[in-house]
Amino acid sequence: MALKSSPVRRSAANITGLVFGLLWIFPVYWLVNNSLVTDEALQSRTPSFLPLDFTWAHYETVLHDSRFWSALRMSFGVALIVVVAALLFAFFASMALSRFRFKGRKLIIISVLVIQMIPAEAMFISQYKMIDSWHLLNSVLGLSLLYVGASVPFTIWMLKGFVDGVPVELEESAMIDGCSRVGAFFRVTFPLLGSGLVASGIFAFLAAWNEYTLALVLLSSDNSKTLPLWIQGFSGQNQATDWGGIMAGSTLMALPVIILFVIVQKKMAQGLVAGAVKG
Amino acid sequence: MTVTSTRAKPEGILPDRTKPAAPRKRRRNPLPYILLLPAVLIVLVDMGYPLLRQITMAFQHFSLEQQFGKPADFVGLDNFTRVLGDSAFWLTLGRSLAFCLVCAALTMAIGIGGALLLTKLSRPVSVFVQAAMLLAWAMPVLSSLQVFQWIFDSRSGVVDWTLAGLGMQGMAGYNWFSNPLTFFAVAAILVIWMSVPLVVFMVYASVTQIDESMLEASTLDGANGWKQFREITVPTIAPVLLLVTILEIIWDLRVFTQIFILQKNGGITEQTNVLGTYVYQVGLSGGDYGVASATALIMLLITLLLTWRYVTQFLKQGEV
Amino acid sequence: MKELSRRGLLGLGGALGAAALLSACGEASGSASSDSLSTPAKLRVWFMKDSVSDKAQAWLKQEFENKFQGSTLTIEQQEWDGIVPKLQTALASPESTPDIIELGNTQAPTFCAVGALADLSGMKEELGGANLTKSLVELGSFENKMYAAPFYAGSRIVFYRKDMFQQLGLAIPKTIDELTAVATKIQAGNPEKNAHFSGMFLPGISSQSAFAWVFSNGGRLAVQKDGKWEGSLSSPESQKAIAQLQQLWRTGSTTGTITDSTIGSQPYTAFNTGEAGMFFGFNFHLKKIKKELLDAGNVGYFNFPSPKGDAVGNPFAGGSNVAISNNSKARGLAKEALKLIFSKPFQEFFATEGGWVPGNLNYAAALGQDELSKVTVEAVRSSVGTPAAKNWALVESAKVVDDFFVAMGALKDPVGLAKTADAKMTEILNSK
Repeated sequence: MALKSSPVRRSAANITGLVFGLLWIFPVYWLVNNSLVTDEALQSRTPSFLPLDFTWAHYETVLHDSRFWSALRMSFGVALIVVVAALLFAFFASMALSRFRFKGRKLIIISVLVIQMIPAEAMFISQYKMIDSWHLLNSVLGLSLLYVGASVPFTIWMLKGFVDGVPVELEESAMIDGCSRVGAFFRVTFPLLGSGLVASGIFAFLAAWNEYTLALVLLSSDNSKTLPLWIQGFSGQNQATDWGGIMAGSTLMALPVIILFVIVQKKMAQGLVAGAVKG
Repeated sequence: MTVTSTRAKPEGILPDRTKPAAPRKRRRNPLPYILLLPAVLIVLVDMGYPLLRQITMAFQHFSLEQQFGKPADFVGLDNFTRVLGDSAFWLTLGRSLAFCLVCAALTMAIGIGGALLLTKLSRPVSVFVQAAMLLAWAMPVLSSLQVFQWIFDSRSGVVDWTLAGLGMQGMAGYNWFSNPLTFFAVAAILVIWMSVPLVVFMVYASVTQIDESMLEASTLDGANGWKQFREITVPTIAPVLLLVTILEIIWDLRVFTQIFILQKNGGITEQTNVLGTYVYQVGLSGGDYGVASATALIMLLITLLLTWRYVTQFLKQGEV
Repeated sequence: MKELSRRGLLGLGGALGAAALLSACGEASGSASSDSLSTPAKLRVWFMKDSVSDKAQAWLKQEFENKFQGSTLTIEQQEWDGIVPKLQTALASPESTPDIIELGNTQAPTFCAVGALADLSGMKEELGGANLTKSLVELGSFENKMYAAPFYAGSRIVFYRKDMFQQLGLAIPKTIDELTAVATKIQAGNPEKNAHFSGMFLPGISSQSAFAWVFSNGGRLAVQKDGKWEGSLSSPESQKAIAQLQQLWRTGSTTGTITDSTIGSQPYTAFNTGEAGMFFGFNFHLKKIKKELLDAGNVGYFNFPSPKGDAVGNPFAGGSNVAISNNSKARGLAKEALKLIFSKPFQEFFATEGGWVPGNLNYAAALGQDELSKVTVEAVRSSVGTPAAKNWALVESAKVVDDFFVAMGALKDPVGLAKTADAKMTEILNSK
């Protein structure tokens, strides 16, 4: 008897799956739930599991806060630049690493890995100095510049796996048809990397969207804060912490990422495995 | 989970396909270097100078006065001896390693378990679990931090309320952040919660590519689930596991933001520091950049030692 | 599409290359500060969140820009979170330093000593001279020169529930021991039968509240002996204070184990929910107290008592200093802006808008003549600051004292931990 298909087994698995899913979705639910209840319900010692004391008030406060919009713009701008630049640079680099054997190749591959291990916290003052000397403090470009450098190594690594998966013969036949080598990369390989670009792009996006400490050190003017700084700014020193606002703000901060994930979900899932399997 | 048909084969573990024709590439070709240039350049621009400066400062007496213009003296290995002679550093190191290993191990275990579970679920449940994973993964770090602080809040937190409701009266109003052990328990739950989805997705994606016929054949041969898992599943997904393990170790050892923010919620800072927050505290907020830089270099060395075995194994497997 | 991405890449690569070439990455050239008032400048001012009201900000900007046509003054609000690293990096940069900065008074000595701030000794008289809050002048000075002027000050007073005191027949405590006794009786009495009731709301994380016990007993956090600093939590005076505190946390307060700094900075929350009979807060917290309690006349306040009951106790001197960055390129204009900050209208905004005691005590009367203001000014006058040691900010960021009081709140061993904390303070304070 094959145990695999036994209905008892199956429903046991389903129940475990349900519990697993519930555990993981709970914090997300809790965030949304708490962003939708009144302050009284929020402050009460008995948690409310459903938004019965419903209110949009927290969202209204946040959406009327000009600092939220400027932080959103800032975060989007930075994330966009980081994704585009990191993907492009990583695409070129992974072509080089995947299609050629050259001197220093191994060194580059090892560096790609080791760079990710360097603790960032001790470099902040030097990076501040650098960005400052280029007059890029408090700017989208300055922050993006640093984030691109931080996410390119990982992006290369992921993307290389996908490039490896595209048969080199395809490029070669395109070259016979009169394409240059680089032209073949773009015409043939690039379009075939769809899910790989999505998966690695997601990582670059998340890294930029989430980064907190470097932004904390680098950004000081009111209209250059990113979303993580804006969220942290909610807990004031002598003011009552606006938990409702924090919850609403955190939800709004998560929303673009969730939408993005849902859109690219299929490609991402394909991308993850292919990128990982091949170093 | 189908793969675009235009691509030869998705797994890429089959070694025959992509091997570049060797002879042509032996010739000195400037193209790969040109292709690498933008990436190398941006990394050098971003990290080259800071890293050089960090290495220099590690051998200098460099504190606030130097930051405000006083010339810095070289002090040899002073900073290193100071770090290595500081018991707080060793405690922090031990804490970081323990935290990293616990988180990485649990994340991997839960992630692999979750992925295997996914293959056994009926469709609606599977979709639900995947949606939950996706949502958890999409949550920005700062958002997660806020909601976890709220979940474990001693006043209005749902965890204390539930535990008290289950009869553990002592847990009513329990402050999770004031005791280092429970502080790290919350931090670990948060970190694991955030990292499991990636592991689940990657492992699941590779598990689903295992040839069904192989499994069927082994079932006919009388192999039980565990044996199948060991003999077929593990070898197939090994490269993925290796990669994810390396990443988890690197990420968990470097954990910063989560601890940094939770520390503001209380807890005795000295007993809740991990390497990242320790470097930050000594350097950026303590103003002793020399010692902070030395600590960071030591930290890099430790990460290298810790992952080197996996890295070489990985490089071999990936036949780079 | 393909064409576009290639061009985009070239553009980006070009920009990056140019940036790399432009950067010398070295120290910028010496500060060419202009003391001239005729060259227009764009002043940047860093105020901390919630310290200067919108009204006061608008006033300052308008006055300044009217007076110095062509120049502008921009106020950038900073979070307390991570302010020390920010000041360390920004003040050191001739390119992007803010011109005027507010400094938490406990951070002031450090920045005065390392050469980050411009010398203000020459204009001390003009800013208020002898009327400037003394404890803040001390913290803002280094080697007899004033670098950071007193901005505003505040000290905690005790708020209490009049109705509960009355019901239990309690009088306002005159000594610290009486305060403990009163807290214990309210907690035991729990007149409203609140399940989470605490006689006095005093979270362990709020070390600045706990300083009142140490200072009033004559203890200090650290003392200077023969030019060397020494941690002083083990002194008999400090130990006496800690014994009193732990007694309070044992019998008169259930809140010693609270470590959430946001709850700690909002002590009125527990008061509003009926969970505390007393709390130790600032005068402006009165506005945060629930209307029903105020309207019923149930809220009273008194000064922190002394050990013997013969005077007002010595709470911690909270507040800020204000300074000009040594790297500012428009020090002349910055000084003019500073004069505006120390003029009557701006100083009075602190009192009327924020409830703070202005740095120039001459204008403290603007707080009003009511009992609350009287009590507050008394508290500020007898308040004591943290040690005016160059490295005090480092002790703070290493959380030596905070960690110590959190442990005390959890009723851990006062003697051993004080010794450890003292040793750590001594090391940090005397390191170069």
